[in-house]
Amino acid sequence: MPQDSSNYVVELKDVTKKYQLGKTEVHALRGVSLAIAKGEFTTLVGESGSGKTTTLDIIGGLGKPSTGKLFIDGEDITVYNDKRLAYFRRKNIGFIFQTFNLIEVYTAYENIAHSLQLLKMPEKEIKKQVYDIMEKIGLGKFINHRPNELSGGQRQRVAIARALVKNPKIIIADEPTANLDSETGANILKLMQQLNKDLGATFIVATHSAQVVQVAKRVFKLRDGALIDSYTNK
Amino acid sequence: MLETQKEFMITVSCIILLILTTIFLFNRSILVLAARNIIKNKRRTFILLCVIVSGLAGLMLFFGFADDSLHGLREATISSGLGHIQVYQKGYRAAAMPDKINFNIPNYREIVGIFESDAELKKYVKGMAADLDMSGLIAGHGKSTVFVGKGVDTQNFKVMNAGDEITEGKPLEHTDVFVKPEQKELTNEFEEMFEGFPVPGQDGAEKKDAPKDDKPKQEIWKDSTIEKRAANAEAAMDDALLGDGLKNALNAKLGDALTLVVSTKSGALNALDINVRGVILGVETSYNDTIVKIPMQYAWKLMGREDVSKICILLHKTEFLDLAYRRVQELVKEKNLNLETSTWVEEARMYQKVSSLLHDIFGSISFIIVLVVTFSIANAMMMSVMERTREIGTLRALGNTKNEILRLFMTEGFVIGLMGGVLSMVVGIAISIFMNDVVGGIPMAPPPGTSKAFIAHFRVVNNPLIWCITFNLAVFAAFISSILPAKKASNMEIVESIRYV
Repeated sequence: MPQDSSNYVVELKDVTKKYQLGKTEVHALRGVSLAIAKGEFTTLVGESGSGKTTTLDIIGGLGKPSTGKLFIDGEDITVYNDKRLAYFRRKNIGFIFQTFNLIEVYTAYENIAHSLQLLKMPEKEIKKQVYDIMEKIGLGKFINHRPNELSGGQRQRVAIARALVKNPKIIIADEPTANLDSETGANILKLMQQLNKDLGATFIVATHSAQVVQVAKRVFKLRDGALIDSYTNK
Repeated sequence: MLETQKEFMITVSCIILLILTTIFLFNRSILVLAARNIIKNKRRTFILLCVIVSGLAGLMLFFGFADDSLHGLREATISSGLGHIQVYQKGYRAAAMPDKINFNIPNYREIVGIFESDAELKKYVKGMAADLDMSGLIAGHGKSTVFVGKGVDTQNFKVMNAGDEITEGKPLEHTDVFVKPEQKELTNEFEEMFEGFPVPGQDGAEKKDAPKDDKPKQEIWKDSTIEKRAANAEAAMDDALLGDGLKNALNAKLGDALTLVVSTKSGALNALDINVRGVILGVETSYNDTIVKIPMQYAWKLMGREDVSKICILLHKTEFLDLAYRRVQELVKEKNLNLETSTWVEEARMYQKVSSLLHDIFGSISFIIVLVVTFSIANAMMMSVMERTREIGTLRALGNTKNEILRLFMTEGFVIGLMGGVLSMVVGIAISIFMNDVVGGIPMAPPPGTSKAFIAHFRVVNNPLIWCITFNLAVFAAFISSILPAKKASNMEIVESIRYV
């Protein structure tokens, strides 16, 4: 683990996560400690059930660890209540899901604008930013299309735009290319890399894809809820 | 609190509640999302609206029907001589029935003069008349039965008693020119019936209750015959109107001479003959079975006194009641009159019973309908929450708070309620117009305790109170039913719901 913690946007310290599955107690995470630097493109790899998604959920403020600490930009968010966590998420975290998770009744524009509306940004500013990001992701023509009128790749682009438009500290992506064909997946990956470079956002991606692992700067390997390895790609 | 004030208060509080709810819920992005979801689930929204509209438009029509029945009963009661406002000598209303006679108004002309000369009251008043209550026996054709009589002011009779339907003969008419009465002896039949009873003016009879008349008392007892109008003999002092049921009970016919026997203030008996001029049919069966109306002068002669039981004031419109009643009370206070007042509602027991019954039925039906509508909406919204689990999880992940998710689903319920309320009103009004103007109303048998069949209409169109109630019930039911599903939605685990399939 690096020495200077001020460079880290995410720090997990001895995090465990237990939950009940019927009568069985499941240990999803067993004392995971890791740190991610600002602007890094990071991947979490491991087999199914290794704890990748649980780690992402905890970093994203969607769930709380059973024990341990999570610092985002030096602030312990495990002490936040539900409302404060929601405000934390709306400002600091952008999510990209495997299944896109766009709001079906919103247009592409509205899906992206929703993140900014939550931040009480003026409508004029929202419009400008949404149009800018739509152009960046190459979906300027589809601004008024509903998700069901877009292809899988286009939907994921909208989801990426939604995550990035508010300029968050961290982008969390859970298997972002898993539901896409290889060509589209490669394009999406390229887009994420480009945006990581251009906007300086920290990407934390859980993946099975070797392609994604190859382009990541830093890789954390999990097995059975424990961090077993981490390395930096050159 | 008076009826119109109550209605006003209900309307105003409903509107305030609606505005407060709108303010509480209003959030542009939540409203847009709620509206889009309502539009997206067209079939479900349509079914929900059908449930709301069928329940509440039906309720609206029932309310309109009940209101029309009550309105009809109200106007018939008021125009059967009761008037809108009654003025009594202080103590009259609290006194037991036999003692009421001790609280008659002696100076009623003076009081009527005060009311008639008041400029403000004049604006509301259509007619004013005094009446004298009495009861006793009525006999004829070898039969006798009890009657409840009224000495009425013939001058204002048609105005004050427009609610009494004349089924046979003619109404009482005013006359103040009489020929010299011809004398008539008490019939043998009645002499036998009242043998041994004291006769006013005779030995043993109370003299202080005797009418203030120059004639000797014995003469009045015998002066029971017809005093015909001089010129055309159209109206006579002994003309009487009989209730339809009473006429049947006595087998009486128009022109028959019947005898009224009453007890005077002192308890002595007095009797006079009457001439059946007409037959009346009021709303209540008990009224029709007992009522006899005779001119006031003749009632005084019968009762041996020249005072009245009450003064009845009829208004141009029942809606003026609050204002007119307040003015009457002010006048009584200003002039320091020894009087008490009441409104028609306090006197109309039949109306009170029917009103109470209809309100109870309306309350029960409303409760059941609201319950059915509430459960239907709650069920549909619960399904909607389940279907939109992932959307809820996504919104929470993006940073929407639990409270915002709660408001989202409550807004959906509220919007469905608003749509349902407006549609219920439109459908209810359309059906009422169709039923009233095209079908012509629904023929109804006489309700229990009443004698008149009637055509039921639906008083919906000019009835803002019922619009208000219907609209608010729809919104209320939809809003309440959305609370539980909204609560469920807001409490969903984010990590589970974002990956819900």
